[in-house]
Amino acid sequence: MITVIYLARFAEELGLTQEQLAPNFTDSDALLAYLRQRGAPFSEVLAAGKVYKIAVNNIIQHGCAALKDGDSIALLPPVTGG
Amino acid sequence: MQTRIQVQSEDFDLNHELALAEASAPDCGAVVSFIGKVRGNDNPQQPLSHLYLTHMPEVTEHEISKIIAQAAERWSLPYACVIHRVGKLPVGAQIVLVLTASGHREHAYQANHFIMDYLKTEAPFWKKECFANGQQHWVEMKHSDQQRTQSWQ
Repeated sequence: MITVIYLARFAEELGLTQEQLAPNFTDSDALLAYLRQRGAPFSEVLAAGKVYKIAVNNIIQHGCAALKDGDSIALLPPVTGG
Repeated sequence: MQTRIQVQSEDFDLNHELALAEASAPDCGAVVSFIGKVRGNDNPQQPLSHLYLTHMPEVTEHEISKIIAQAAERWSLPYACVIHRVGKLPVGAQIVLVLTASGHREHAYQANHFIMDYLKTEAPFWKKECFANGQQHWVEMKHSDQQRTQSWQ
């Protein structure tokens, strides 16, 4: 299983903080494509450009990252701290 | 280099932090502090009640430490402190402190500016504006913030 974690506005707009999916995704791009093809609200909330970064097992990644069984992947909206 | 990184809901006290900096890096001739606060009137038609700040607990402190380490590669930075508050923060409240201490002012200034710019675009914090009329929305990332970060590259 892969655990997908939705943060901040994603959690609110999807009404979901996390979910578990069968591990048939080789990388984060494949996972995002799967989530988007579910249609609304996923296709809109997670549209290209709205996912600023991802973190795999609590490590922030730049670009696409490989996934394996047991991983957790967090989806981060654009950050607005400071 | 010594660093102090805190993510907390409680307020912070600049004088206390200056004393900690002095105790940690006593030979620094230059100390720069930046404090970010909650503005109330970006839009006079819609006054703000408070901000709600959330973050990614397992990741935030590590990301801040990476930002400080990047600054220390560019400038002499014997001491750096970042305190970032989360939770409900009313208008006028302190949100963030960046305190840098160095031998000379240019290093302390530049490192402070760099850390603050990177905090805006790299650290996993999210702000929600909660207005006096009950409406609320998540703040959008500013293009100008991204440009400032890119200007250091």
